[in-house]
Formats: sequence, structure tokens, C-alpha cells
Amino acid sequence: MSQQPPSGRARGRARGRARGAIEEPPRRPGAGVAPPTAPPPVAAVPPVEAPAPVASGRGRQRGGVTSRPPGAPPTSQMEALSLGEKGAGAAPASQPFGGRRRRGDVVIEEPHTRPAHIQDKKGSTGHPVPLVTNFFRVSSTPSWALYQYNVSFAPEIDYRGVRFSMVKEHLELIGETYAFDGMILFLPKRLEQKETVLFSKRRNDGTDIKITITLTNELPPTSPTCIQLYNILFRKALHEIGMQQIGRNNYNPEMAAYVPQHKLEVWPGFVTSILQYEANVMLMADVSHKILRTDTVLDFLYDLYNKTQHNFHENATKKLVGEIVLTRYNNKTYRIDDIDWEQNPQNKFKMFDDTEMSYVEYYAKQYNKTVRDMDQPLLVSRPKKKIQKGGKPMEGPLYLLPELCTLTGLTDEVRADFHVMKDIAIHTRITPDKRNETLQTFINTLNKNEKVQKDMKGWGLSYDKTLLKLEGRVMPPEKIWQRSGSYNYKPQDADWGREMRGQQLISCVPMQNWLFIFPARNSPQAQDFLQALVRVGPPMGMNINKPIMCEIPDDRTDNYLRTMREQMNDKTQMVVCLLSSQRKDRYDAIKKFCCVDHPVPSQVIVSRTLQKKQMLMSVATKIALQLNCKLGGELWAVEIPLKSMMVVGIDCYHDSATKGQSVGGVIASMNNSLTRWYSRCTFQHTGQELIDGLKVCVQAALKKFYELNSNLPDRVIFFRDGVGDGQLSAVVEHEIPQVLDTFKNLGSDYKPKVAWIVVKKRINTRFFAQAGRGLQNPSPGTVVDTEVTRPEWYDFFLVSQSVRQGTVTPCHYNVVWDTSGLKPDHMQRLTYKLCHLYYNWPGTIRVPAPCQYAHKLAFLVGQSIHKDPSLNLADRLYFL
Amino acid sequence: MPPKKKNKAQRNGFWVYMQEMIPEYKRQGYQMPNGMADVVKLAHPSWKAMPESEKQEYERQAKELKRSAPNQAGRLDCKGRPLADRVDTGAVMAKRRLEERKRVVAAWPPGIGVVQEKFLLLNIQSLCELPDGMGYMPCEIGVVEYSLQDGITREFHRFIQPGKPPLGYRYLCQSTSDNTHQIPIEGFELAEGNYHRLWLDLCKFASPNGRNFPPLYSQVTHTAMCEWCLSWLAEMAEEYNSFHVYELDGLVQDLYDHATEGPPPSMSMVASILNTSVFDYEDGSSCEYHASKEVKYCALGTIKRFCFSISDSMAQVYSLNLTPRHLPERPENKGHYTILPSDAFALDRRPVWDPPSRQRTTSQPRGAAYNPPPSYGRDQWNGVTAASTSEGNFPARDIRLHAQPSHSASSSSVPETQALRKPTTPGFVAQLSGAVVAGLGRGRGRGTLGLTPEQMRSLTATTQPQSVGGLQQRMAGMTVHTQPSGRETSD
Repeated sequence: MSQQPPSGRARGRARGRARGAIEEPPRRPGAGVAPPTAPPPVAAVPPVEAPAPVASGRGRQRGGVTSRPPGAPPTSQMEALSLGEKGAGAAPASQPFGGRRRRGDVVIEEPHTRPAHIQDKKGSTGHPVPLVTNFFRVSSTPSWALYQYNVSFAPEIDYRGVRFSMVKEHLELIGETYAFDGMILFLPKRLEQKETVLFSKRRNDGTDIKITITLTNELPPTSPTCIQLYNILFRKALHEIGMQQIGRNNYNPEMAAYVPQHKLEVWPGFVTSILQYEANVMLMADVSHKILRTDTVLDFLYDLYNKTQHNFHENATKKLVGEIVLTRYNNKTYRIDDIDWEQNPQNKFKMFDDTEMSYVEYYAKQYNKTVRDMDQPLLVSRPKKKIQKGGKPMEGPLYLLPELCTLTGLTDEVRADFHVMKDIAIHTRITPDKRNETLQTFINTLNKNEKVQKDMKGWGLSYDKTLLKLEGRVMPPEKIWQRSGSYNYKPQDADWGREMRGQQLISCVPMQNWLFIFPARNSPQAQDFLQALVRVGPPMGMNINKPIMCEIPDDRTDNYLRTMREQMNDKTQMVVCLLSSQRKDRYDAIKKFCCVDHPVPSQVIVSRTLQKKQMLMSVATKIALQLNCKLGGELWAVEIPLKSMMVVGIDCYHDSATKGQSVGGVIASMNNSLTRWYSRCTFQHTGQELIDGLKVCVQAALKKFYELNSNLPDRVIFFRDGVGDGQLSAVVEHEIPQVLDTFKNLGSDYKPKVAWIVVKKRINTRFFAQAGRGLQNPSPGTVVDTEVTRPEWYDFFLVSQSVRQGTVTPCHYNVVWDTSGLKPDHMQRLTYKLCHLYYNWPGTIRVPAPCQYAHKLAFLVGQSIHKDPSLNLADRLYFL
Repeated sequence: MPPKKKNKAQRNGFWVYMQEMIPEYKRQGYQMPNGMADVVKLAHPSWKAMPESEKQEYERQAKELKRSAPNQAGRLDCKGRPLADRVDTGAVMAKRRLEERKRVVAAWPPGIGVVQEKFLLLNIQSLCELPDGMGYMPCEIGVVEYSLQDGITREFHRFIQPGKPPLGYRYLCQSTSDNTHQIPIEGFELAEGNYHRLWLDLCKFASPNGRNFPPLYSQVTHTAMCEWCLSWLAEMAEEYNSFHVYELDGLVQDLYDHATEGPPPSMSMVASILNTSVFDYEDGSSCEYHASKEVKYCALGTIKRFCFSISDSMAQVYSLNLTPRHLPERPENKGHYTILPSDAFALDRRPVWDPPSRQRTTSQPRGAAYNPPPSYGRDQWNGVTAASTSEGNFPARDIRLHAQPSHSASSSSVPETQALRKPTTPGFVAQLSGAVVAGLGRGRGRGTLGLTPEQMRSLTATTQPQSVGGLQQRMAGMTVHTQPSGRETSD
């Protein structure tokens, strides 16, 4: 919301609460929204200085609350205010009705970032392919409009419920189809008069209440208010067809699939949203699954007890504390913080109105649940501060009955069980064909449900019966260059691991002086690995000498550190440590030593990866490639026609361990073929975007670029990952100006062409390619820049990777700043080319390589090092 | 908000005092044409000279006045307390601590004599911090006696029975334990449940003669916790708590300040000295339990590491003679590792991949001879490509040598051994060109925090880490710079 011009919300707080002014009743905070452009209606605006005998000064706001006159609801205020909204429908950034953003509502205030010069964001390269996407068009009748009315009551009525029932009394006038939130009434039709006056009787005292319904606005189908309404209606419809909301998504328990052998059930569900897309308002629906365990905590306790009665309480506590449980009666999740063995369901607790009630009674009354086991202990959950809403803060912990709690998530035991995962995957990993089918069934259910249909008809809306079809383009595969020549890969797989064999890498750093540390008991594996390494190296052009081999008696951390400390010297190029087990603190200690205390590239290998003999050669090849990257070598390249360009990747990692710090990784290309990279990282407090740090990083990168190329780049292209849904404006407003400022600092005549692209990985959009009768995943390189893009953005979707299982997820690219002079087509092609350049994978990846590198860097620093890595390493990919 | 009225007189203690003095001044014949402004000049010297206790009385009166002021009546803060009574506890505490520090420093012998001063360093590990000021659950305590001259002389270490976690906090405790010190929540056999004995032992350790209780030092972020835990222990032991916890960070600052002139190093600088990871996982620093678990979150280990880094950083300031009691012993390799002879593994160097024939699809057109995108030839990159031909010229070394150009060039008096010393300390120290002059003289690979005070100061001045190879200075003028070895290109 930060980019919003001063809205009525802020004003409502600042002046609206004038005290004691009876004729100017206070506005509900957040209710009054007048678009800044529209002149406020004369009568309605509360005077800036309220004519009330109040002391001025700082005490004003606090006192204002207490002296609000009772029984003065804000209706009359609203009436006039919303008049100002007339025609606001054209401006998509205006506020939704009610002004307040509720959870789960669509975010409408996304900034318009489409650069003015981009008239047509369509590219042209590649051959067109027919695609199907998981969208349904929402169509409305041609002359459709939504009518917004304001409802006021005289004398005022405070209680919302009474207002609802009073409006309901006049159904013959309003009609069956309406939406009313206590103040604003939406109707699909126009009432005869602009102002309708009705009368109702208040039931308790028989007073006549005058209800005035005034037309305030007529909204076109594309107005954001309408879209909000569509979403509300749709959620209602979902409820009608038996979906249950858990978290943000809706699941259908009726269609649950059971996996009885593992006590699991899989609920199919949908992620949905209705938004304005390029040409139409559309419903996006994607399949999602929730895996639930059917056994309750009580079952679990009994199982445990039957297994061993020794130390039962202790064992149970150990196993259960920290688990997340779901209570089916309200579909909420809780973490078990403790188990209270002293209590049982027959114990009484105090309700908020100070009456006492036993747990059994409570659940019978509130949720109609009968509790069978009267001796079960109670689970304790300490509510988070956030949950405590309402007037009174919740006091003390929450008690839950084990019988009514089901465990969620999969235990580590289950996760390790291959069979379980396979059984589950049948239900969750679905092919494009199956996905399409499920979505089709879903929309059919909606369209067949009578109640939903009636409602929809009333509003004059309908959903398309089939998934949206559109046309995408598949970009031609790239030619991969290595020293010994170039080759093509199979366009379907976008994987050149096989083609690479025997090819010389672009540049190699000979490994002449390196350290290899391994525990004595892994000595055979070490030998095998070394053998494999020296054999796979030369064909790729890597010259690998024998290392200084250090055998340590056991794999204690201090042994590794001591060996490194004593055996490393100025000539040491690389340290390879073989670890017998995966242990995070040991890995962290080694990485910290090698990245901060004594900067040298390092490679840690867990012995398990070397266990399979038949895999050893390919493992060794991959490690050899990785070693070469870490030493500063280059593996392969694609043709980049643009000269003197720097590509920058930015990503954030939010450190879970040390709250309050997140790490930003910045990586910049240093040559024209985009094979060499320079990296920096920054630390900032959580919640803070990469504000100051980014400037330092970009400046350093530019200087390095200058040092290496004797000129500064003419073009700088940024790929920014890790931007949340609501943070787009923060990026546009804070990061881009900062970077532009950096360029200014480097010289008044230095004005590079800049593009800033925000990369979004977690999206629900899916594309399917038509293959014969069925559907399959689109091939890598598929671009979509029509229909499902957004009108206010310069954006496109790109499917860059190929997946073997399930449905591929495209990435969304949003060009929020563009002075690069690149045509949309070039932008798309450049993006795709960059997806080829991630050296840890001989194939295309989901995001452009700089984003992935930045992610790797930020992850390493945030997870393990927690400090600025040495700048001596900054010019190579030591973080791979 | 309306603009503040600027000319509103502040009604503080001084104002009350002035009001009281006006008749007196008038009687003495002073003219006050500018009103209060003149009174200020007159009253100021005597106000300054007034003892604190008398000032208190005026302050109290001023508060009274504020409370009874017409438009101030009943102004409460969010917790319902009168605003006039509000005290900034943080500031008060900070002030108190600063005074305490001054008092301690005043008692030190001047100059180098402070090396004999003994300090007690304290660290307590807790299972969790209970919210809303409910305190902590101490489970381990470590205290060492340390002096600059003798290093660590005595140590005290116990596990404490923290008691049952309050209902609903078991998960918090469990996760803290798992992530840090790994001390079991309940049923830990090493834990001391006899608080009285524990307390007596602690007192005896801290003050063998039983009379004066020296200050205990803990990391600045832990002082509140340590104080709470000590008073909790005293309560459990039913004894009087005569300990006082001081800030270790402040001590380090004072020690620097004591020996040298000029401003002391900043707190963040001190914090990064203390929290260096150089001494993590050092043999024999942690207690046995934690050593067996290979966990560095040990109360004893933590303070010992502090001692190591203090010794390391003070070595040059006080010309300390470093002993194994100052820095962890790193005896020559005694079976910690074995270097295998280079022929230990017989390696077969034949390439594995046959000339690719079967795997590659035959139709695959092999590109002609390497015809790189035109940029390759002109690449200039630190001589990496050059390194592939010229033996042993590893780029990392190039960079690192660049990192300290002023060091090797200007200070030619630095002995060769020192020039060779590796920067094992955190990046920021290493990056200070010339700062890597260790004062330890204890062989390679030891900490190099031994900065001279001047260097420490220059550190505090340059918060911005310098870039590689004095790059910034050279780049500042944007002069064209070519790498010496970068012109060679690969074959």
C-alpha cells in the first residue's frame, strides 16, 4: 500500500475522530475512502478543526476513542463519501470496498510498471505452439454493470446483525441476489429511483427505522471492486460445492483418497483467484493437495503405550512435543508445546464469561463432538502473540484433546520410507493430462451445482466450460559452446550432460596444489574417488595433480580444522573434505574457515555420495566440474550477441536461525560471454529490503568490470528474485533508484542502458502443450506473452526447464524498468539463454543462472557462514 | 500534528529553582529585563554546584507541578502510569553501568600494571528465555579467572538443574537445547540440584577469602540474563547475592583505553573481536560434556574463547608473554592427522571416456574447431586463463598479494616471518592492509588480532571493508588499470 497516494484511511484517523461533534459522527477507521483525485463532496467532509470543546495537542487521539458518542454509526458519512467514487472504476488502483484489506483478498494495489514505450510486449522468435492453461474465462453479459448503493438508517443502528436483517426484509425490492456488508449494498440491477426510502420496525421497541438506499456508483465489470466481489462470490460457491478452506486453499474432503496402509489421506484441493488479465477477467485454478494423517494423537499414544510401557510419559513427550496437529472440527493447526498428564477431558475450565465447563461438554456443545476416552491427557499449545486478537488477549496456554487432534505432515520415518512416498506420489504428482481432467471436473461441478448456478445467474456471470486455449512460442534451442567446439542438445530434454562427455571445457585451472582430508575409515572411498577424479579430469581438459592426502583418525570437527590450519599454505588452491556423515555444524565450521578465516575454495563431500560404485564416475565428473568452477574456470557458454553488457542477479535469503538478519546475494557477470562472475553479499535486518547494501555491491561489481574490461558496461540487466507478492512497489521505489544513483556516482557521462526484471518462481499458472489427444508439458523454451499476462505490466512467462515427473512450473518475468533498448523478443531470448548458464547442471534450469547463483551465495552465507565471505574469493563461484 | 510551541518554558528542577531564586536576586538588586533568560545566567553556576541530593528535591517539585498542570492532568502512558513518572530505564541503566566501569578502572594500577589485575569472566547457558520478563532457565554456568599477565588461572564449571519448564514452554526449551548446547531438559545426571552447595562453591571460587566479591564480566548481550540467573541461584540457595555483573565488552574497551591514548575502539568492533570464530572447536576449551558432543555452545568454552581473543588482541598493546594459558595449545601434529605419502594410492591415469562414439547421436553435428564468441579472446581475467599454462601461478595468490600492497611495500622493516603469516582472523582484520602484523610470535597460524591501538583506531574509522587490492583507491580516479598477468591469453 505504500505507493498509494494518501488515502482516506489515513485521513480518517487523523481528523475523522473529532470528538463530541454530534452532527459529524466519527468515521469507522478504514471505512471512508475517497480517491485523492475526486473532490470530496461539500457536505460530508468533516471539518478540519472540529467545533468541539476539546483541548488541542497530543492527547487528542487517545482521548478521542473514549469520548466517541455512542450510537452514532458512520453510515451517513459513508453515504456521501462513496459518491466521490463515481467513475473510480476506471482507475484500477482504487481501493476495494470496505477499504480494509482482509486476509486472502486479492492484492489490487500492485503498481503499474509497464514502461511507457512498450506498446507491444509480444516477441516473435520461435515457432508457435497451441497451449492450454489453467484459466477459465469469467464472462458477463454485455451490458453488465455492478451497482453500488449506500444504505443508511435513521435513527442509526449500531448492530450489524440488525442491519442485515432489516435489509433482508425488503427482498421483494432488492431481489434475491445481493451483497451487503452492513453499509454498502451491491446489486446486479438498477433500482428505479436513485434514492429509495424504506421503512422497517425495530423488533425490540417497535421504533420505525427509515432506511435510505442511495445509488453511489455504477461499476464496469473490470473494476477492481468487481473483481473483489467475484472473489467473494467464488468463495461462496466453493463452499456450496462442499469445499473446506484450510489456510488459503480450499480442499474437498468428500473426494479424499485414502492410503490406509500408511494411515494417510490425500485431500484434493484448489488454489484459485480471479483477476483481471490482459484482455479478460479470468479465474485461475490450480490443483493442490493436502496430506493428512488419519490417526489421532490418541491413537498414536496408544500405539506407543502398547509398544513399550517403560518411560511412557517421557517417550511420548519426546515424540510429540514440537509436532503440528490439526483439529478437524475447525480445521486449525496448532503446535504441541507440552503435554499435561495431570489433566483429563472431564476437568473444567473457565469460559471467557467466567462460567465453568468441562472439556467434554464444551466440545459436545460447540462442535457436536463426543469424547470417548475420559482418561486421556491434554495437549498444551501456547498461542502466538499474533493470534491473540479481539479485545482481551488470550491468557495462558490452549488445551487440546488428543482424541480430536490429528497429526499433520510426514514424520521423518515416513519420509525415509520409499514405499509410502511412492504411494502418495500417485495422488500428488499428477501429469498434465490428469491435472487438466481434475480442473475440468472442478469447473463442471461448479457449473452443475444448482445453487451456484442460480446465484451466478442472478449476478449475470458465468464461467467458461473449458480451460483457456492460447498460443505460445517455443524458442529455438541454443548452441552450447565449449573449447573443442559447439553442439546442440535435444530440444525436448534441454540437457547436455551426455553431449558434454569428452568435450574440453572452456577454461580450466590446473589443480596442482590441493588438500584432500578424509577420515581413516573412509580411506577406501577416498582412494576410489581420487582414482575416478584423475581419470575424468583430463578428457575435460582438467589437469589434476595428486593432492596432499591427510588422513584423520576420526571425523571430529577440530581435526578437520587443525589439518587445514597446519597444512594449508599460500600455494593451496583448494581443500576437499570427505565427511563421513552429514552434520550441519561441521559443514558450517569448515565453510566458515575456508570462506572467512582463510580464504580458499573448498569442497565438502559426504561419503554417502561416493558409496555407489557404479555411480562413482558420474559423481566424480560432476564434482570435477564443480571444482573447476570454484577455482575460477569456465565450463560452457552460449552465444550472446550483445556486447559490453553486465547481467546482475539478486536474491535474498532470510536467515531462520538468527532472526533479524537476512542476506542478500548479488552476482554480476564480468565478460561478454557471461561465463565469469563477481559476487558480493550484504546483510540487512529482516523486513528491510536490500537498501544500502545493493549500492555497495553494484558499485564494486562495476569497478571490477572496469578493471577487467577497461570500460564500463553499456548495458546492465538486473534479474531480481525473492520479491514477495506485496513487495513489488518496494523494489520499484527503493532499489531501482538506488542503482541508478550508483551509475551517476561513477561519472556524470556514464549512462548505461538498464533493465530490471523481477523473477517470480512461485506461481500457480501452468501451461500444457497439446500432444495428439492428450496434454503434456510444454517443451523448454516456451514463452507466453499474451492473454494470461497482466495489462499493467511488461511481463511474460517462460518455461525453461524440463521435468520428468509432474507438471512443469513456468516462471514469471516482469520487466519493471526498461531503458535497455532491447525489444521484448530480445528480452525473452536473453532470459532463456541465461537459463543455460548454471554450471552445476548441464541443462537448462528454472530461473536465469545469475538468480540461481545469487540464491546459492545468499543461502551459503545465511545458513553457514553468517559473516561476509572474504573478498579474495569474490571473483569465482566458490559457493556452488 | 500542530507545530510545537517553541517558547514554552521547560518546567524542570532548574526552573523550580529559578522561580525560588528570583525574589532573592531581586533583593540583591539584579535587573532582569529579559525575564527568565537572565535568571538562567544568574542561577546556572549555583545550580551546577548544588549537590545531587538537593537537586532531587527540586526535580520532585517539578514533577508535582507537571502533574497538576491544567492540560497535563491525567496524561497516562499506554500502561496507565502517569507520564510525569516515566523514567527511561535503558538510559538509567546505561548511565549506571558507565559509572561502575569508571569506578573499576579508577582502581586499576596505572599503565602496564593492569596486567596483573584479575578478572572473573562469567557465562551462563539457559534453556530458554521465558517471555514477559518471566526470566530464564539456567542450566550451565562457567566462570574463569583471567589476567592479562597469567592468562586463565582458575576455572569453575557446573551444570545446573533448571527445574521443570513451565507449562507450554517445553517445546521452546527443547528446540533451544537441540540447536545450541544440547543439554537435556530433564534428568541430566551431571546437573547439580543442590543449589546451596553450588552457590557456596561459586562464592568460594569468586572470593577465596570470602570478603570482597570481585565484579563478574559477561558479554554485553548476556548481562541482564546473567544477573537474573545469579539472583535466581541465590534465591534457590537462600543466600544473599553479592555479585555484580559487568559488561565484558566495556572491559575490553577500557583495557585498550588504559594503555593508550585516544578514543577507544567502538563497541561493535569489540563485539566482533570477542565473537571471532577463529577459536571455535579448539581442543580442550569446552567442558568434557560439550567436547564429547562437539558443540561450541558451552558456558566454559564460550568464556575461554573470550579469554583467547582478548589475549590475542591485547598481546601487542601490553607486550604480553603469551603462554598456553593465554591461547589454546596447538602442539605439533600428534596423530591428529597423517599425511599419506604421495604413492599411497596407486592411481590409474588413463582417461575413462572412450572417444565418444556410441552415446552421442551420430547425427549430432560436431561444431567445427572452437570458434568462440568473439569476446573470449579479449578476456582479461586475473590471469586465470594464463594460469592454466604457467605453472603454479594461482590467481588466489595474486589477489591475496594485492590485498596488502602497502604492507609489503611500505613497511619493509616488518620481519619476513611476519609477512608470511597467514591472516587467520576474520576478514575485516585481514583486509586492513598492514594490520596483519601479529604480535604473538608464536608460530604460524595463530590469531592475528594483535593490533596496535593505533591500528585498532584506524579500524574503527574504516567501517567499510576495503575492497581487494586497494582497488578502491585505484578505481577512485577511474584510471585505466591492467592486470600485470592478465594480458596473456589462453592458447
